[in-house]
Amino acid sequence: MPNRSDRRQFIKNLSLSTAMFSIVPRHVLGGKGFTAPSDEITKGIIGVGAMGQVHMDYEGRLVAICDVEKNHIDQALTKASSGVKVFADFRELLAEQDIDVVHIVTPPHWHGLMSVAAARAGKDIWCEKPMTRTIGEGIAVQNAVESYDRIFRVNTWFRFADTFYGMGTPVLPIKKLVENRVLGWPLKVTLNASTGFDWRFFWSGRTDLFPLVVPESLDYNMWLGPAPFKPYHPDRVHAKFRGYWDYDGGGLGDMGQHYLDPTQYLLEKDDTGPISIEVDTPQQHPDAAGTWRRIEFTYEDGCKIVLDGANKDKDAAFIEGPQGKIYPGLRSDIPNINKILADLPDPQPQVTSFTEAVKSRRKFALNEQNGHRSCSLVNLGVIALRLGRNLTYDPVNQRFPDDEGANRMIHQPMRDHWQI
Amino acid sequence: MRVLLQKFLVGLCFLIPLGLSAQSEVQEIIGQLPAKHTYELDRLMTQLADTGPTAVHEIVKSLKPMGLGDDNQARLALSGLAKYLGKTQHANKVIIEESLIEELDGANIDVQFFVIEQLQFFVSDQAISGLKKYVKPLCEPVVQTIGQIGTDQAFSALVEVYGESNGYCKNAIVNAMATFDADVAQTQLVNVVNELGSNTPPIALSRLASWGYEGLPSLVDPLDFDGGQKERWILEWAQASLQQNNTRVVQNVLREMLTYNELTQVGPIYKLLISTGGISERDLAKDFRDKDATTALSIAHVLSETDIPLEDFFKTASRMSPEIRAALVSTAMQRNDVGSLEYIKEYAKEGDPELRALALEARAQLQGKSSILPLGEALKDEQLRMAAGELLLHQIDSTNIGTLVGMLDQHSGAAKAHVVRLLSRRRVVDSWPKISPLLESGDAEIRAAAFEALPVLSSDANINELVAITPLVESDTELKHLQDAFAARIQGFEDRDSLAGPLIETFGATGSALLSKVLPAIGGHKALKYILDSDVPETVLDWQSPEAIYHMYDYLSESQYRSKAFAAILNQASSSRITAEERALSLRKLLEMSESVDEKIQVINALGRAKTYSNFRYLEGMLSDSTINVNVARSLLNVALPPTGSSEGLEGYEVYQTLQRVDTILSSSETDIYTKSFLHNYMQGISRDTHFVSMFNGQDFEGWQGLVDNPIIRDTLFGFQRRAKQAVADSLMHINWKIVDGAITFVGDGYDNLCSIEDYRDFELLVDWKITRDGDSGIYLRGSPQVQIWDTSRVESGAQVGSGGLYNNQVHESKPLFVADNPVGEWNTFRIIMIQDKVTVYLNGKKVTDNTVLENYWDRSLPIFREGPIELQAHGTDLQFRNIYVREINAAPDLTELEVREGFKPLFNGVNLDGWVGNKNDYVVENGEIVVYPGASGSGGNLYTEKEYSDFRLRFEFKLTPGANNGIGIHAPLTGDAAYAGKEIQVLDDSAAIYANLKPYQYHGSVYGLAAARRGSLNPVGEWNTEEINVDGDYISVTVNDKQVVRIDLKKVRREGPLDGREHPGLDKTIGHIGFLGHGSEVHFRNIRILELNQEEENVTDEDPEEDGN
Repeated sequence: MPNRSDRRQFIKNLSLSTAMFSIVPRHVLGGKGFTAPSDEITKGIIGVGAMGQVHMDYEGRLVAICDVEKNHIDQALTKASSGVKVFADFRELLAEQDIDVVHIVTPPHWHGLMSVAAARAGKDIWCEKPMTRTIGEGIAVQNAVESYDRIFRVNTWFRFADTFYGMGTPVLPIKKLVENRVLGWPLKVTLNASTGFDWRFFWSGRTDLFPLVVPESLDYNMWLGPAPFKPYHPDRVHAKFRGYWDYDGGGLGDMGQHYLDPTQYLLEKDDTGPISIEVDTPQQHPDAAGTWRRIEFTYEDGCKIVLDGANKDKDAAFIEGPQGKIYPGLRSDIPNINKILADLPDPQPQVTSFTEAVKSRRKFALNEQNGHRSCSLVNLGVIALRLGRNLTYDPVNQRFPDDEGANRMIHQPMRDHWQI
Repeated sequence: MRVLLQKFLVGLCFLIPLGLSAQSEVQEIIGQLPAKHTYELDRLMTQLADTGPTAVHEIVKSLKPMGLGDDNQARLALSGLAKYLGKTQHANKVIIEESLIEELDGANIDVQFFVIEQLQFFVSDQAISGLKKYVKPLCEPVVQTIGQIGTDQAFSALVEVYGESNGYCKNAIVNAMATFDADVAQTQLVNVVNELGSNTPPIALSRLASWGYEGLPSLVDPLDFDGGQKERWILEWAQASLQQNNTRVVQNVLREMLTYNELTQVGPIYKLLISTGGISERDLAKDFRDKDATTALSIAHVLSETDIPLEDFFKTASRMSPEIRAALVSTAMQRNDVGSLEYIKEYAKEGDPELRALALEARAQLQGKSSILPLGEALKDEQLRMAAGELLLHQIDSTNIGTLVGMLDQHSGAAKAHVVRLLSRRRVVDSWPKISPLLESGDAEIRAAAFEALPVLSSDANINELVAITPLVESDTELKHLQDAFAARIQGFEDRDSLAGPLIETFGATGSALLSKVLPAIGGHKALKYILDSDVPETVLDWQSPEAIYHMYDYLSESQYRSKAFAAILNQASSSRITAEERALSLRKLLEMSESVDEKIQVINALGRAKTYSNFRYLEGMLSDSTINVNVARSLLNVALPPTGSSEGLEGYEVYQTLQRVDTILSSSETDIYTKSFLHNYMQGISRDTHFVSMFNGQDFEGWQGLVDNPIIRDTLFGFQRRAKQAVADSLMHINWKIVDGAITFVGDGYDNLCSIEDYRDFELLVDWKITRDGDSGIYLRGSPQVQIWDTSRVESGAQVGSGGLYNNQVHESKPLFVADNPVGEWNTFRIIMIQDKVTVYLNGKKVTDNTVLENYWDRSLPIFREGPIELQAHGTDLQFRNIYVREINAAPDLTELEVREGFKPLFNGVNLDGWVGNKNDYVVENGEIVVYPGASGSGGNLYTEKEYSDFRLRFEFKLTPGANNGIGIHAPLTGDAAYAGKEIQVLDDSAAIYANLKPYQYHGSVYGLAAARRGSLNPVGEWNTEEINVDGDYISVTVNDKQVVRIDLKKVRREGPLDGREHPGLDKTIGHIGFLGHGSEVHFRNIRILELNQEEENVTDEDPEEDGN
């Protein structure tokens, strides 16, 4: 990173009608702004643990990596080609001018802060799921990405590619049926072990942690960043952090957006949210995430999403409306479903190549706007679980009209000088 | 002062007179955490809040610094209380806030930290003055908590403590201030900037910028921040200021900024200028033309948010780079600007391929269905073909599908091939007649596309048409597509022989060339026999359905077929059309024939999908082989854990022990993180009790002995006589039976049974067996014949029905439901379940005998013995057994001897709900108990005996959960509210606070609404209770834990009327079902048994006719 005194020489004074202020030349700071169609996209990855190393193989030429764990850096470097720059502080990576896209592959408590910082630094952003750890951070990311004209995506893809895990069919044919109202309206989606995902066995945190010495390879203070200070224990950090509310939301945080995002797309709820969230859960520990039995989201028009954590609705369809049901593998009670599918036009094509989105500056299929809404489902579930009560939500103002305690979880305080 | 007084009074009420009991009440509440349900949480937290400062004191007292002991219940209590008070306006809220802050005094800093963190969820202004005192030691959490209050008063407190703090804490306070709104915080943040200058936390300037603070530019200018940062603040300030109508000032600043070349945010600046009319269209066009490429690009994109005509820009752009032109196309698309079409059409023609693809997409969007023809044309262009195809599919529906089909005629070569692919993707089966000729196309790509489409599009074609295609096939790939087409065509046909038969008749004479391609895809036994007898028997390796698997192993030893055979067996053994047992058997055989580590690993991975107990134990034996142990460990885990959608995984001590080994072998690598998290959670929940026990150690006959006569005669033998006979039998056993290749093997030539030394009553038995040609064997249960094993080719003996029947039955079914045997010489697996007098047999995972009575062969007048040995029968032919495991089922209630003599009968078999009707979803059998889960309530929440009872003595045990409510219905009809239509004996946790206002006739044990029970006989919630309900004419009595709690005479009730004043038509009913009446809570029942009273007459008529014959 060029040091600050070098930059001073570029600073000029401007004479303005209201004020004097100084500005730095473009070629010193920020991204390249735009990428020519023929250029290869360059990327920097923040967080090169197990998942970050997977991101190394995604599209784009890797030019920089960043991690607060030295062991991660060492592992990543064995896979990276030479010449990759290494950082311990993501702000230095963001100041690199030859990076087009920043991959944020940290625990979720960093996603919001880093996305906003990356947008301000003129980077396009490829952020891991869940998009943010709070609804407030999601709103901030959406605003920053939009006011700085950046391209943003969340790293889940089921709304436009692949079969859902366990669903045995991509979203596309279901989308065709839904948007042509073959199933009728309103719709109910049930997500459980028989329709795609078993919520029970994931990421329960331990409730008996005790303070341990921080290993030398880890900058724990920077790992925590905005999260409240808690004494170090290896279960809090790498590969285990999802079990603790301070950093993520248990199994719901981990896998929720994978399933809720395509569901939201099917239900045509990309620009809104549910009005009620009902939970069936044992009381959750203040620190460690646990299992739960059911979360039910209801939208104003009667559409419903059921996360059936107890796998109680064994025979439920994946999606059902008054005129038909779809089960995994596209089985349906609608006769001649294949004929119907052959007759219906495919849904509107989406921008599903991130490189193409970056080059053409068109919104990616899953972007800061709909990504924020599907991540809000995750966070609404988490809030209801942690509070142990049902919630009423105002999806327009993104507030809880009658629950001050829940409102306090929309934004949570940030530690140190971190603020979004 | 008023608050203090109030607290004093409350303290007086709670602490002084009731101190002790309030404390113990709080402790009792804490002891119930974590609450199992949200409603329970709400109830417990209400109770906790009711006790006010006592609760706070008791909770904080129990909190410990992290790592110094388990204080989870106290943490749950405080967290629950804080979150509860975050919504509920409880009368004690303020007192609780204040007492929490008082309790901070002298507490450990870790405890203080936790308490303050929880305060965030609910504190209000009242807490501020108390909290302020802790800013020094705990600056960050305290100011964050004050920040969360969010009121003017909270902000004033932050201002106040700001003055007294320094360094790190100041930053934290500014950070907290930044979470407030502009009207509260702006002035103070300006002060902060003036004070701290270049050391101001950036968030303060960010906020002032985003609030549009008018003095921001001059405030920022002198500070030593990086220039890009300053530019962004100005930009954010400009955005905010525009919303406050300071348009002119902002425009001046923005225009001024644009005069400098060295900006990082050109696009956003133009966006603001345009949106406020701060730049004329002419100037914009001029900037686009004259300034640098980055500016042009920015403007091209920003135009998307305007309605400025694009024509001039397109004209200018014709001399510009492709990326600028692409940006204009993007903009036209976002604006849906049809006027730009003429330029876009030009762009689509030539030049940069990415620009052309984008232009094509824009045409599709702007022209809708009119773009179909140009899109079709674009299929000819190699670089646009894929994109054009995707775009076409969006425009094609039932009204214009013909256009797409028509393109087959218009196009040739690669474009035509792509049309075929699109039709296939769309499943346009009507197009098949036009595509089938293309199977013979001279163009390789078209031909390939047609074959690829074959399985999808030929679904309306008949089998003979597909057969007719067969001679066209030239490559393995084409053959694969053809066979897929057959497979798709015949999906759902069970009777494959009826398809294969006519084909063999029609084409058999022409030789095997044709049929050897077709029959493997069709399958069935007729087809198999044809191929095995043909001159190309190796075609069996192409078989698509599992029945040929045992004919494939021989090819493993022929080097030219080995890899194909190995893959074919692995593929068939992985098929979802076979059972887990079949999979385990065929894969084990394959593993034994595997040579390289790579082959072994493939098989072991596949064994992970054979979820059987025997397979688990088999795999476990390979854990110590370090070349494969990681794969073995993963497969063990897959076998043990429940399949998706089920909760039934493997359990028991041995399984637990092995899973612990699995845990240590699996690394923390990325691939195993998820599986290990599954594993840990699963291991927490499983039973570690004895489950299946191995009956055969693989080495000797430990646990087995020779056969002495039959059970009836054996019963008459004692002492020396018995021992002598046993000794003779044992020595005979050692002559007739040997352990060969780890299997129990009969090597004699007579008749001899191998008997378990143990006797078994109710059990589940797993055993693998193998017979030779003409073989005959069986498994004796409780010393009695038998679950049949024989060679199905012995038609003269009736063996074609298959193994697994109860051969010696005369009254009840003796034949299996269908044939599930593997070929003679291959291993088979029995799973035999015997409960009471009934037997269920699974052969190779298929149920062949369904809960059928096993008759007593030794004395047909008697029912089957209550217990006896398990025996392996030999009948003069070679046979082998292995993998023998037994699990004893403690099913029926433990009747005392007295109860047996009195005539008590089990009402619940401990295993399933046979004999019960009603809600079997929420009433489930677990660990020999009937458990009702909260789903059960209302009239759908009931489970009834199938049979009706009049007078009886019902005994059972039950266990309540906090606040649980259920009831025992008697004389009940199957519909309606049993409490009124029959009678209900109350089952209730009447100690729960929610039931504080119960009427006595609602206490546990009451005859609901009719007679009140005495309270206080229940054991603490969570412990078992015993109960007896006696119904004898008009007299009903209920005894709980040996204390009689109620006894009534219904005559009296009829005379005086019900206590609840309601209509009870059930008062006069004298017969009906017994039932559990669910009220939405979890209750456990077990050991349910009944003695019917006053039955003399019925007993006579009910007498077993066979007894008369004796």
